[in-house]
Amino acid sequence: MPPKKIEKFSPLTESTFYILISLYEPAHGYGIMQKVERMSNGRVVLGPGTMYGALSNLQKNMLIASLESKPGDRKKMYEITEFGKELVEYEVKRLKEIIKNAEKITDGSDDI
Amino acid sequence: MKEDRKTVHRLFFAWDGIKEKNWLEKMALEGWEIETLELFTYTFVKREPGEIHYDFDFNVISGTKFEEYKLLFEEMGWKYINSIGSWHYFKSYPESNCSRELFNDSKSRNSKYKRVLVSVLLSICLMIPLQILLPFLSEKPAASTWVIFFIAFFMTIFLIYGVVRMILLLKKSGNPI
Repeated sequence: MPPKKIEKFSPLTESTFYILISLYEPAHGYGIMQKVERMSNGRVVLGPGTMYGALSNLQKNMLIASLESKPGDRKKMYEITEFGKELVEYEVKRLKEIIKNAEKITDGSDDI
Repeated sequence: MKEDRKTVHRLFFAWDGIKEKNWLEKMALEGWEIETLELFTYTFVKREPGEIHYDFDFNVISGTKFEEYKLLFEEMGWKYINSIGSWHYFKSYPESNCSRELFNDSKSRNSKYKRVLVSVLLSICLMIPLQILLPFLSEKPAASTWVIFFIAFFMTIFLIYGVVRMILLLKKSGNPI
Protein backbone atom coordinates (compact mmCIF):
# COMPACT_ATOMS: atom_id res chain seq x y z
CA MET A 1 0.00 0.00 0.00
CA PRO A 2 1.59 3.29 -1.01
CA PRO A 3 1.59 5.88 1.78
CA LYS A 4 -0.97 8.66 1.53
CA LYS A 5 -0.04 12.25 0.82
CA ILE A 6 1.58 13.91 3.82
CA GLU A 7 -0.91 16.84 3.80
CA LYS A 8 -3.71 14.38 4.55
CA PHE A 9 -2.45 14.00 8.13
CA SER A 10 -2.15 17.72 8.78
CA PRO A 11 -2.93 19.33 11.18
CA LEU A 12 -1.94 16.87 13.87
CA THR A 13 -3.44 17.23 17.32
CA GLU A 14 -1.11 18.36 20.06
CA SER A 15 -1.07 14.87 21.61
CA THR A 16 -0.30 13.11 18.35
CA PHE A 17 2.37 15.64 17.40
CA TYR A 18 4.11 15.22 20.75
CA ILE A 19 3.94 11.41 20.50
CA LEU A 20 5.41 11.55 17.00
CA ILE A 21 8.37 13.74 17.93
CA SER A 22 9.06 11.63 21.03
CA LEU A 23 9.73 8.72 18.71
CA TYR A 24 12.86 10.07 17.02
CA GLU A 25 14.38 7.71 19.56
CA PRO A 26 12.68 4.33 20.16
CA ALA A 27 10.36 4.34 23.16
CA HIS A 28 7.44 2.44 24.66
CA GLY A 29 4.16 3.86 25.99
CA TYR A 30 5.35 4.94 29.41
CA GLY A 31 8.58 6.37 28.01
CA ILE A 32 6.63 8.50 25.52
CA MET A 33 4.32 9.73 28.26
CA GLN A 34 7.24 10.81 30.46
CA LYS A 35 9.06 12.49 27.60
CA VAL A 36 5.98 14.48 26.56
CA GLU A 37 5.30 15.54 30.13
CA ARG A 38 8.90 16.74 30.45
CA MET A 39 8.92 18.59 27.11
CA SER A 40 5.67 20.40 27.92
CA ASN A 41 6.71 21.18 31.51
CA GLY A 42 3.93 19.03 32.87
CA ARG A 43 1.19 20.61 30.76
CA VAL A 44 0.46 17.60 28.53
CA VAL A 45 -0.12 14.37 30.46
CA LEU A 46 -1.11 11.72 27.95
CA GLY A 47 -3.89 9.32 28.87
CA PRO A 48 -3.60 5.68 27.78
CA GLY A 49 -6.80 5.89 25.70
CA THR A 50 -5.42 8.82 23.72
CA MET A 51 -2.03 7.10 23.45
CA TYR A 52 -3.49 3.80 22.24
CA GLY A 53 -5.56 5.51 19.53
CA ALA A 54 -2.66 7.67 18.38
CA LEU A 55 -0.14 4.81 18.26
CA SER A 56 -2.58 2.59 16.31
CA ASN A 57 -3.35 5.33 13.82
CA LEU A 58 0.27 6.37 13.36
CA GLN A 59 1.32 2.77 12.85
CA LYS A 60 -1.53 2.03 10.47
CA ASN A 61 -0.45 4.96 8.33
CA MET A 62 3.22 3.93 8.49
CA LEU A 63 4.27 7.13 10.26
CA ILE A 64 5.78 5.04 13.05
CA ALA A 65 6.83 1.39 13.21
CA SER A 66 6.93 -1.07 16.08
CA LEU A 67 10.30 -2.63 16.81
CA GLU A 68 11.09 -6.27 17.52
CA SER A 69 10.79 -6.49 21.28
CA LYS A 70 13.56 -8.06 23.31
CA PRO A 71 12.81 -11.56 24.58
CA GLY A 72 11.02 -11.39 27.91
CA ASP A 73 9.92 -7.80 27.35
CA ARG A 74 6.21 -7.63 26.64
CA LYS A 75 6.16 -3.86 26.19
CA LYS A 76 5.99 -2.69 22.61
CA MET A 77 8.62 -0.25 21.38
CA TYR A 78 7.98 2.23 18.61
CA GLU A 79 10.08 4.43 16.36
CA ILE A 80 9.31 7.14 13.81
CA THR A 81 9.65 6.24 10.11
CA GLU A 82 11.12 8.38 7.32
CA PHE A 83 7.56 9.14 6.25
CA GLY A 84 6.78 10.23 9.81
CA LYS A 85 9.78 12.57 9.78
CA GLU A 86 8.53 14.08 6.56
CA LEU A 87 5.23 14.84 8.28
CA VAL A 88 6.99 16.46 11.25
CA GLU A 89 8.96 18.71 8.87
CA TYR A 90 5.77 19.64 7.03
CA GLU A 91 4.03 20.51 10.31
CA VAL A 92 6.98 22.52 11.65
CA LYS A 93 6.99 24.63 8.49
CA ARG A 94 3.24 25.17 8.72
CA LEU A 95 3.33 26.08 12.41
CA LYS A 96 6.29 28.45 11.93
CA GLU A 97 4.29 30.34 9.34
CA ILE A 98 1.35 30.66 11.74
CA ILE A 99 3.58 31.81 14.61
CA LYS A 100 5.37 34.32 12.41
CA ASN A 101 2.08 35.84 11.29
CA ALA A 102 0.56 35.81 14.77
CA GLU A 103 3.60 37.56 16.21
CA LYS A 104 3.57 40.17 13.47
CA ILE A 105 -0.02 41.00 14.31
CA THR A 106 0.27 40.92 18.09
CA ASP A 107 3.49 42.99 17.99
CA GLY A 108 1.69 45.65 16.02
CA SER A 109 4.18 45.47 13.18
CA ASP A 110 1.48 44.17 10.92
CA ASP A 111 2.29 44.94 7.31
CA ILE A 112 0.28 42.20 5.64
CA MET B 1 -19.59 -7.22 62.80
CA LYS B 2 -19.42 -4.88 59.87
CA GLU B 3 -19.46 -6.36 56.39
CA ASP B 4 -16.26 -5.82 54.42
CA ARG B 5 -17.94 -6.42 51.09
CA LYS B 6 -21.15 -5.19 49.53
CA THR B 7 -23.05 -5.56 46.30
CA VAL B 8 -25.02 -2.73 44.77
CA HIS B 9 -27.39 -3.04 41.83
CA ARG B 10 -27.45 0.01 39.61
CA LEU B 11 -27.95 0.64 35.95
CA PHE B 12 -26.08 3.26 33.96
CA PHE B 13 -26.40 3.80 30.24
CA ALA B 14 -23.54 4.50 27.87
CA TRP B 15 -24.42 8.21 27.80
CA ASP B 16 -24.35 8.37 31.61
CA GLY B 17 -20.66 7.51 31.83
CA ILE B 18 -19.86 10.64 33.83
CA LYS B 19 -22.57 9.85 36.39
CA GLU B 20 -21.20 6.33 36.79
CA LYS B 21 -17.65 7.60 37.17
CA ASN B 22 -18.68 10.21 39.76
CA TRP B 23 -20.66 7.63 41.72
CA LEU B 24 -17.75 5.18 41.84
CA GLU B 25 -15.37 7.96 42.92
CA LYS B 26 -17.79 9.04 45.66
CA MET B 27 -17.96 5.44 46.89
CA ALA B 28 -14.14 5.39 47.10
CA LEU B 29 -14.18 8.55 49.22
CA GLU B 30 -16.64 6.78 51.52
CA GLY B 31 -14.29 3.80 51.78
CA TRP B 32 -15.64 1.40 49.16
CA GLU B 33 -13.45 0.27 46.33
CA ILE B 34 -14.79 -1.59 43.30
CA GLU B 35 -13.78 -5.23 43.16
CA THR B 36 -15.75 -6.48 40.17
CA LEU B 37 -18.32 -5.05 37.82
CA GLU B 38 -21.06 -6.92 36.08
CA LEU B 39 -24.12 -5.70 34.27
CA PHE B 40 -26.30 -3.95 36.92
CA THR B 41 -24.05 -5.35 39.66
CA TYR B 42 -21.18 -3.60 41.43
CA THR B 43 -19.21 -5.41 44.13
CA PHE B 44 -17.23 -3.22 46.54
CA VAL B 45 -14.66 -4.06 49.19
CA LYS B 46 -14.02 -1.95 52.29
CA ARG B 47 -10.86 0.14 52.24
CA GLU B 48 -9.42 3.31 53.73
CA PRO B 49 -11.54 6.21 52.45
CA GLY B 50 -9.56 7.96 49.74
CA GLU B 51 -9.29 9.14 46.20
CA ILE B 52 -9.53 6.62 43.36
CA HIS B 53 -10.00 7.63 39.74
CA TYR B 54 -12.21 5.53 37.51
CA ASP B 55 -12.63 5.66 33.77
CA PHE B 56 -13.83 3.36 31.01
CA ASP B 57 -13.15 2.88 27.35
CA PHE B 58 -15.21 1.28 24.62
CA ASN B 59 -13.25 -0.78 22.15
CA VAL B 60 -14.19 -3.89 20.19
CA ILE B 61 -10.92 -5.72 20.58
CA SER B 62 -9.78 -9.25 21.48
CA GLY B 63 -6.88 -11.70 21.63
CA THR B 64 -3.27 -10.46 21.49
CA LYS B 65 -4.48 -6.97 20.57
CA PHE B 66 -6.45 -6.82 23.81
CA GLU B 67 -3.44 -8.04 25.83
CA GLU B 68 -1.28 -5.31 24.29
CA TYR B 69 -4.02 -2.77 24.95
CA LYS B 70 -4.29 -3.68 28.66
CA LEU B 71 -0.50 -3.72 28.99
CA LEU B 72 -0.25 -0.16 27.63
CA PHE B 73 -2.91 1.07 30.06
CA GLU B 74 -1.19 -0.64 33.03
CA GLU B 75 2.19 0.70 31.91
CA MET B 76 0.70 4.19 31.98
CA GLY B 77 -0.65 3.82 35.51
CA TRP B 78 -4.22 2.62 34.89
CA LYS B 79 -5.12 -0.72 36.46
CA TYR B 80 -7.51 -2.89 34.51
CA ILE B 81 -10.57 -3.97 36.57
CA ASN B 82 -12.66 -5.98 34.14
CA SER B 83 -14.84 -5.67 31.05
CA ILE B 84 -18.54 -5.76 30.37
CA GLY B 85 -18.80 -6.61 26.70
CA SER B 86 -16.62 -4.11 24.87
CA TRP B 87 -16.60 -1.69 27.84
CA HIS B 88 -13.29 -1.87 29.65
CA TYR B 89 -13.04 -0.50 33.19
CA PHE B 90 -9.87 0.97 34.66
CA LYS B 91 -8.83 2.63 37.90
CA SER B 92 -5.87 4.66 39.07
CA TYR B 93 -4.69 6.11 42.36
CA PRO B 94 -3.45 9.67 42.90
CA GLU B 95 0.02 8.32 43.63
CA SER B 96 0.15 6.41 40.30
CA ASN B 97 1.46 9.59 38.67
CA CYS B 98 -0.70 9.29 35.56
CA SER B 99 -3.30 11.20 33.56
CA ARG B 100 -6.49 12.21 35.36
CA GLU B 101 -8.61 10.53 32.65
CA LEU B 102 -8.09 7.91 29.95
CA PHE B 103 -8.35 10.60 27.28
CA ASN B 104 -6.49 13.86 27.52
CA ASP B 105 -8.01 15.63 24.52
CA SER B 106 -11.48 16.08 23.07
CA LYS B 107 -10.60 14.51 19.74
CA SER B 108 -9.66 11.13 21.21
CA ARG B 109 -12.55 11.28 23.71
CA ASN B 110 -14.92 11.90 20.80
CA SER B 111 -13.49 8.95 18.90
CA LYS B 112 -14.56 6.77 21.85
CA TYR B 113 -18.12 8.16 21.63
CA LYS B 114 -18.05 7.51 17.89
CA ARG B 115 -17.08 3.88 18.45
CA VAL B 116 -20.06 3.51 20.80
CA LEU B 117 -22.31 5.21 18.27
CA VAL B 118 -21.24 2.88 15.47
CA SER B 119 -21.98 -0.21 17.53
CA VAL B 120 -25.41 1.13 18.59
CA LEU B 121 -26.23 1.88 14.95
CA LEU B 122 -25.13 -1.65 14.05
CA SER B 123 -27.50 -3.11 16.66
CA ILE B 124 -30.34 -1.08 15.16
CA CYS B 125 -29.49 -2.46 11.73
CA LEU B 126 -29.72 -5.97 13.16
CA MET B 127 -33.00 -5.25 14.98
CA ILE B 128 -34.96 -3.84 12.06
CA PRO B 129 -34.75 -6.87 9.73
CA LEU B 130 -35.69 -9.06 12.69
CA GLN B 131 -38.90 -7.09 13.12
CA ILE B 132 -39.74 -7.11 9.45
CA LEU B 133 -39.10 -10.84 9.07
CA LEU B 134 -40.62 -12.12 12.31
CA PRO B 135 -44.33 -11.86 11.40
CA PHE B 136 -43.63 -13.73 8.16
CA LEU B 137 -41.72 -16.60 9.71
CA SER B 138 -44.84 -18.57 10.57
CA GLU B 139 -48.03 -18.52 8.56
CA LYS B 140 -50.16 -17.78 11.58
CA PRO B 141 -48.02 -15.79 13.96
CA ALA B 142 -48.25 -17.19 17.47
CA ALA B 143 -48.64 -14.91 20.48
CA SER B 144 -44.98 -15.47 21.38
CA THR B 145 -43.91 -14.18 17.97
CA TRP B 146 -45.73 -10.94 18.70
CA VAL B 147 -44.13 -10.69 22.12
CA ILE B 148 -40.69 -10.96 20.52
CA PHE B 149 -41.77 -8.47 17.87
CA PHE B 150 -42.78 -5.88 20.47
CA ILE B 151 -39.65 -6.44 22.54
CA ALA B 152 -37.55 -5.90 19.40
CA PHE B 153 -39.64 -2.85 18.54
CA PHE B 154 -39.14 -1.20 21.93
CA MET B 155 -35.45 -2.13 21.92
CA THR B 156 -35.12 -0.32 18.58
CA ILE B 157 -36.88 2.77 19.94
CA PHE B 158 -34.60 2.66 22.97
CA LEU B 159 -31.49 2.30 20.79
CA ILE B 160 -32.58 5.25 18.67
CA TYR B 161 -32.93 7.24 21.90
CA GLY B 162 -29.40 6.07 22.73
CA VAL B 163 -28.12 7.37 19.41
CA VAL B 164 -29.61 10.80 20.10
CA ARG B 165 -28.04 10.89 23.57
CA MET B 166 -24.64 9.87 22.20
CA ILE B 167 -24.81 12.57 19.52
CA LEU B 168 -25.66 15.16 22.18
CA LEU B 169 -22.69 13.93 24.22
CA LEU B 170 -20.44 14.34 21.19
CA LYS B 171 -21.70 17.88 20.68
CA LYS B 172 -21.21 18.78 24.33
CA SER B 173 -17.72 17.36 24.50
CA GLY B 174 -16.61 20.06 22.09
CA ASN B 175 -14.69 19.77 18.90
CA PRO B 176 -11.23 21.14 18.28
CA ILE B 177 -11.92 24.47 16.60
